[in-house]
This record gives sequence, structure tokens and C-alpha cells, in this order.
Amino acid sequence: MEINCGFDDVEDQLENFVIRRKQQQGKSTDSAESRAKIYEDIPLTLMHILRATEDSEREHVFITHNNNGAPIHFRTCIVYGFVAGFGTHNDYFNKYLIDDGTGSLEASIAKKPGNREVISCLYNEVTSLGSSDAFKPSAERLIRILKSAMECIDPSPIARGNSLFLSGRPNMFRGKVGMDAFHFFIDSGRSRDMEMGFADYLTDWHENYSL
Amino acid sequence: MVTLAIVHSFVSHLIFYGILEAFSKKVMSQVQVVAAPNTPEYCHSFKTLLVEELELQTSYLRLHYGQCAIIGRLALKSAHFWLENVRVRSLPENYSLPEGAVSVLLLGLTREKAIEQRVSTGCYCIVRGEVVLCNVLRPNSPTLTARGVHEQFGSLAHDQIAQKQFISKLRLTHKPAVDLWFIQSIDRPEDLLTLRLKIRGMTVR
Repeated sequence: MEINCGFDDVEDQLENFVIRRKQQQGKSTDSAESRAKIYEDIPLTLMHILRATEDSEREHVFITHNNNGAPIHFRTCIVYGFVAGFGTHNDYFNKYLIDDGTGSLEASIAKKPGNREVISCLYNEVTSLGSSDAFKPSAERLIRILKSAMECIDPSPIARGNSLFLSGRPNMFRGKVGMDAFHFFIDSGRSRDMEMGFADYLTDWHENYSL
Repeated sequence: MVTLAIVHSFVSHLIFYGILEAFSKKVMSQVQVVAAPNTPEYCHSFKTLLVEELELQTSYLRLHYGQCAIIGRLALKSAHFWLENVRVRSLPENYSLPEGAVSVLLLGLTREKAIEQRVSTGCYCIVRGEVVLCNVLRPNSPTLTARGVHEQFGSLAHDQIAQKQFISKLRLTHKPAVDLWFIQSIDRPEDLLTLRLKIRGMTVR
């Protein structure tokens, strides 16, 4: 750097770059707003996700199409699927093959090891507090809360044959479409009320969808 | 072949002028369908099907090829597990069969497995697995799939009578069945089926 140009030169160029970039950004958001609404947390089938493409202008915006060919722009979505198999888990993500009858893909669920550690520390602390009579009632309540907090964070109880709610966004990597899930909820057992509730919401949303 | 050539030159003309690209794609895909034998594509997801769609399929060439999810009532007949149909409420009255009118054979479900999965005869289930054709005369012989039927049918292309005989013979020896991968007992089967069919209708292209 010292040989080719002085410090001033670099700063000049940097400023130019920053100014130009800002202008571009301002322009693209303007035209985007006039063009289409970007949805968050919309109910989708896995086929919608498999069909989705990335918006070339905006980061983390995806475009999918409904059956009439109308485009749907979205950042995040909610799906409901059956756990048909496991992918290769690693230290930070558990991977599951999910299937909703319209398609199947691999979903990654973050393990959040930091959060898990905090919760298990709190859990141990509260359990030791519970041994004294004065704190017992509130300690029991806290234990229940921490247990259900753990259920929302730790994906390891997810088993083959369970069904899952996932909220997240598509993940395109080397031509393969998967899903990054930020939140999950396990729905197992005889009652299919949650599945039916979601199916009802999903079909309604898409019937009422218009540009 | 002559008409194909005409369509082809017509299409290349359109592409040359860069007009009606979508239309030309459509024509091209139709040309390919005509030219290539239409071997079915494997369905990699558990598509919602009806017991009726398997059991009442008259031509095994049109049988679903791949994975499926079927809702029905579990039954035990002659030492085998079967899945009986449930009423499809979204169909008009005169098209919907009463519950238990038809049933499809389940492969790979034993009494032990049924106990393990907490299902018993008479309970409503959702079954996930693969559609196969099972030889009913020789129960332990290998199963067929829609693709296998297509390939054997295609290999007889020189002889149309042999093709017809092959299909009608197959109907006597083979029955559609589901090779079971998952089974789960469920509540409110008719409601669930109605909603799952609605999603199927929504995602069919």
C-alpha cells in the first residue's frame, strides 16, 4: 500500500465506493416497494419451497409461485412436515428429511449449544434452591418453565415418525434446496388437530392470496 | 415423423425470432412426450393417495410409481393386514364409496410390529410407504412396480397382441399393495383426509 498509493488515495476510493453503494441501495428498495409485498412467516408447502428462487436484487428474499403462476415474495415461512429420516448431524445443526406429501427436503435445525448451557445451568441452580422449603413453590414453577424452554431449543428428541412445525427460510446450496429452521415444534400422537389447523390455514391463505 | 419435423422447424423459427418463448417450450415438451416412451417418474415424497386409487386402477400402466401416504382403517383378513377406505367427504355423494368398501394389502406389517406401533385392527391409520404390485399366486416372489410394468410393456412394442395379453394376465396374478414404511394411528380420519386432499389439489400442476 505504501509503495503504490498514499493513505489519502485509499480513503478517496473508499468514500466513492460507499456513496455509490448507498445510491444503489436506495434505488432498489424504492422500486421493490412499488413492485411487490414481501411476506414474513407465510404458510407454505414443501413444493413451494422446492420451487423457490432467490431474488437477484434483494438479499434473503425468495420468490415462489402459487398454482396460478402468481409470484409470492417472502423472507420467512412456516411449514408442517413428517420426519421421514435423518441427515448427517454436526456439532451445530441437526438435519432431518422432512416430507409433507407435496415434496421432501432436508431441514437444518440449529442446536444452539450456548443457550442450552445457560438453561441447564439455571436448571441446576433452581433444583438446588428447591431443596429449601421457603423457595419450593416458585422453584417448581421455574423448573416447569425451564423444561419447556429446553423443549423449544434442543432438537435431539425429534424422532423418525414425528411431525414438525418449522419456521425458517429456504437454503439454496450447490443447486440443492433445503431449509434453515429457526424454530421448531414437535407434534406427535393420535390427534392430528395441529396438522389440520395448519392445513386449513395454508389452503385459506393461498385461496385468498392475490397480488 | 413428418408432422414432428414440421413442428420442429416451426419451433426453431420461433426461437430464431425470439418470440413466444414460453409457447415454444410447451410445444417442445409435447414433442418430447411423443418421441420418448413415457416411463413414469419416481415420486420421492409421500403423496396423499386414496385406497380407491390403487385398488380400482384398471390399468397397471397408470398405477402410482413411488411413495404415498394413505388414510384408512386397519383390517385383518386371511392372516394379512389390509387398509380399508374411509369416506371421502369432499366427493359428490354418488362418487364416494361407503367406508370399508375396498381395501389394499399392506406388506411388511406383522402382528408384532402392529403392537409395537400401537395400532390394532379397526383403528384409523395413516400409512406411509411405497406402491408395489404383489404376486397373489406366489406370495413370496419379488414385487413389481409401475415402472417395471412399463419396461416389460415397452419391450413387447413389436407385438400389440402380446402387450394386451401381458396387461390382462398381470391383472390376474398381481394386486396393488403398499410396502409399509410408517404407520400411525389417528383421530378424525375423514377431516384429515379432506384437508390433505385440498393441499394435493392446490399443488397439482
